[in-house]
Amino acid sequence: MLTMLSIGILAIFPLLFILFDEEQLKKHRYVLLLPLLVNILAGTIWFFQLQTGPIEHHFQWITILNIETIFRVDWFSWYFFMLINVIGLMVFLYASAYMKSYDGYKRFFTFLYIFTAAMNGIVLAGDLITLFVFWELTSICSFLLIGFNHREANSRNASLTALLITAAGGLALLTAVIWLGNLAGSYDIQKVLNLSNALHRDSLIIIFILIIIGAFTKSAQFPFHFWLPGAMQAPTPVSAFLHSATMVKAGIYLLFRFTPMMGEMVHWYYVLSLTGVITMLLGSFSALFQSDLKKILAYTTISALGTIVMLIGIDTKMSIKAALVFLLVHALYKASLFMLTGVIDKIKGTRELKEIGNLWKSNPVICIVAILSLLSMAGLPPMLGFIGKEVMYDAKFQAPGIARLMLLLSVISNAFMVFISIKLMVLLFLPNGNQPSSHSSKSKPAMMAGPVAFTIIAFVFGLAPYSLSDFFGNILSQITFTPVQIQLKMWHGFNVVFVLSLATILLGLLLWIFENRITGLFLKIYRNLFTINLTHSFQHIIQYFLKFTKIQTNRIQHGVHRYYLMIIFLFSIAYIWWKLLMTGLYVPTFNTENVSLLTVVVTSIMLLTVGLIVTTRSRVVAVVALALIGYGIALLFMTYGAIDLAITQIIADTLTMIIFVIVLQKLPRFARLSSKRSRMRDALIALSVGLSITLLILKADMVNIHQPVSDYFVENSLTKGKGQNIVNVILVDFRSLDTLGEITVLAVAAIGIATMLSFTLNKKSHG
Amino acid sequence: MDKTVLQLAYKPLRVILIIVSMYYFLRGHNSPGGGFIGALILSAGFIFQAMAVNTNSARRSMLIEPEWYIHIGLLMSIVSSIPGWIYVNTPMTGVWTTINLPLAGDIKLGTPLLFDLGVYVCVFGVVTSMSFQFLKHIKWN
Repeated sequence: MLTMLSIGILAIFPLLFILFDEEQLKKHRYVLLLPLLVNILAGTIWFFQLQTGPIEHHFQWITILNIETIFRVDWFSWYFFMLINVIGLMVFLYASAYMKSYDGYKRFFTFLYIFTAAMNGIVLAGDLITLFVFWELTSICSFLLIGFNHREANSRNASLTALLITAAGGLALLTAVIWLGNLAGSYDIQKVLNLSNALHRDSLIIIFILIIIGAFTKSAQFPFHFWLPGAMQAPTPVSAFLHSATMVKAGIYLLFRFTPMMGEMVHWYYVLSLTGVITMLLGSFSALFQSDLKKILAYTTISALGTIVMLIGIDTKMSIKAALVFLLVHALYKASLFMLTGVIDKIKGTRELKEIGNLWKSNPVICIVAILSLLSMAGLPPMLGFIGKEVMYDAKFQAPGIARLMLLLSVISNAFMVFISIKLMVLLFLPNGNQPSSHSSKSKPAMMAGPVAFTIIAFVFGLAPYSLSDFFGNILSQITFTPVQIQLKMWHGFNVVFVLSLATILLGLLLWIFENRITGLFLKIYRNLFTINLTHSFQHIIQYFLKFTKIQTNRIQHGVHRYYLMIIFLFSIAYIWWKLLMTGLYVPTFNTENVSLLTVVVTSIMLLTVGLIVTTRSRVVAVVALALIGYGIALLFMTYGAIDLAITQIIADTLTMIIFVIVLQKLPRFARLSSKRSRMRDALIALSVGLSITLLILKADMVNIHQPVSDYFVENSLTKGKGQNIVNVILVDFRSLDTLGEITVLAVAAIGIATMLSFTLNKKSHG
Repeated sequence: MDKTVLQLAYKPLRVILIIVSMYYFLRGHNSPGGGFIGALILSAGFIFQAMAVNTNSARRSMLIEPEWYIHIGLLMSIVSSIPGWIYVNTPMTGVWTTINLPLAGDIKLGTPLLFDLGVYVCVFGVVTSMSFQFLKHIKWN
């Protein structure tokens, strides 16, 4: 139940906001941390339970259809869970102070809570459907969060782009999930993974492609990476959360999860590692040319994600280990740096790199924390980032195939990171003569708690990495299905990897020293490489698509009522005739013995009435005659014992007539506007519809279905449905889902009519 | 337009229609009738009032706005699926219980009854809401 609780508390907690108004909530903002503390407590309990094995919770909720929801906690999901909630705690603390000056405090936190719940749902999900549902929920929540400042066009565009891309990936994932579930006969992730060897290879490749699309869109891999820099339009706490522990990490999580299944495929290796390398270089290279602090960080996130994907792709034990360690490293420094950016933004009122400067004198604490975080990003000792980079180099050095090339490329990419770190340190903290720090406002403790805590964690783990060895060993055994021992240390000895580290730092320093000469060259490369602006082209594609749909819709939805009816009728006739001819046309033989006099009389009256309707020149006559036909049908129902239908028919007809009467006086003059030819055409269509339906019914009488479903209803109506009126029991019990659907449609229709009518009313009153 | 007949007739007509509709609704499970039919009869009573007097008067007589009936009805029908979920682990399965009332004797109550009540209320809301919209739109009164 703890799994349900940990997701549920986050989702339900925002309901409490009803009790507070915005000001009260701001005052008692520490309440906001409560659900996350509960989750961390749950995580601590799981930590001890996990020593004996994974925890599973099954919720059978529709037994008859065998639908169940499974939550499963193993070391791997625990790792993500703790990452989300610990970083989440700090982000919430930070946001509670950061968002104070914003409107929509409640709205913001509601979105953030649901987002966190969805993220927890992804990592705790034990079956594919649950995973997918939460996956989609994160896309929707991130849309709401990125577009939080919805009055700005930039935010709206960015959030729409993010939604379209991640939701497209979600669709791919849904296809993969259903396919996989059908192949394996179960949606339980554990079962699916165990059965993977038995699955057919060919279909596995398609599933693989679909999963990859899902993961790459979410984790901002090339060529889908462009939504992530746009996502920085979100308030800074959201960026910190999105980039470090959530959202983009969901894709990574998915890839990790499917490593045991797909890891042996050649495609997996090449697709993942190549995409990873491209994304890594692209990210760190693009980061060089940004001047907005958040944008720089966003691009370095892309680079880090590329690194992780590449490591997963290489799929040796070393590389998976490196990916896991790097994930933690990145989460810590990225959360800390984003939060600091927010702090600096608040103090200086800008995020432009050139306009900040000289922070050292006014805010030494920020500087120390930021420098340590930047060291971690650059992969320098004594921070955890150093360990992360070392294991990464080690993994690539020992891996087969094209890993050596990747090693070279990642040295370059890391050199860029070193360069960016140095640049940030120098530009931000040293006096640059631009301006004295006029805003000497102090940073709030609530906003500094996160960065300080994460930096301390990174520092401690950096000095004592062996304390993490067992933990990562456990996770690794789980992912690779074999027991693994892990050694993490600071000093590996003077070996190739160490030399590479030195080279990276040296390269970064050289870049910094010769910055002026190199920048021009790089900028040229950058401009030539990125002549196509993906964000813009994406928006163009969307615009063209909208234009196309507009033309398309105008063609199909022409708004001429009679053509709609004509098309519906013609298609049904065609279909009926096709079916009739396929199954052999049946020549009806008439049996006049069972026809009662009443039927004959009623039918003749109805036929006469039809003639009247067609020829009359008065609308009132037509309306009344139509109702007469309805009553005739009711009479026929009655002769066959269908009392319920008869009653409904009579009442419905009466009501229709009432509504006709209401609108009658407002209708234009009753005139014959159509030409004789079109009337002939309509008559022809009407007659053939009648003929086809008659034939169909006669045919239906001939067909013997093995066991009519009505027998079941007749037999069980009283025993199971506890009612003698079979029609009613069918409506409210046997087929209640259909009825629910029908009344929902009615409700929607009522709302539609209300909107349409009020819309025209408004238009009239304005114009 | 002269509506004297309607104005004189709508009150008794409404009472009769309300009673008839309740009757049809309650007996629906064993004899012809049920939520849908009952709701149509019931709405007829209020539509007559709206035509005889005006929509606002009919809306007032309905105690709450017709749109609320739609929401409440849908909600009742959805809620009726929950007991089956809890007791038999399958949503929408009928769950029945028998209660003993002093005068009426044993009465069988079940989730299908609640479901049908939901249909009754929802359809009532839909039909009245639509008709009132029409009446207002064409400025009947």
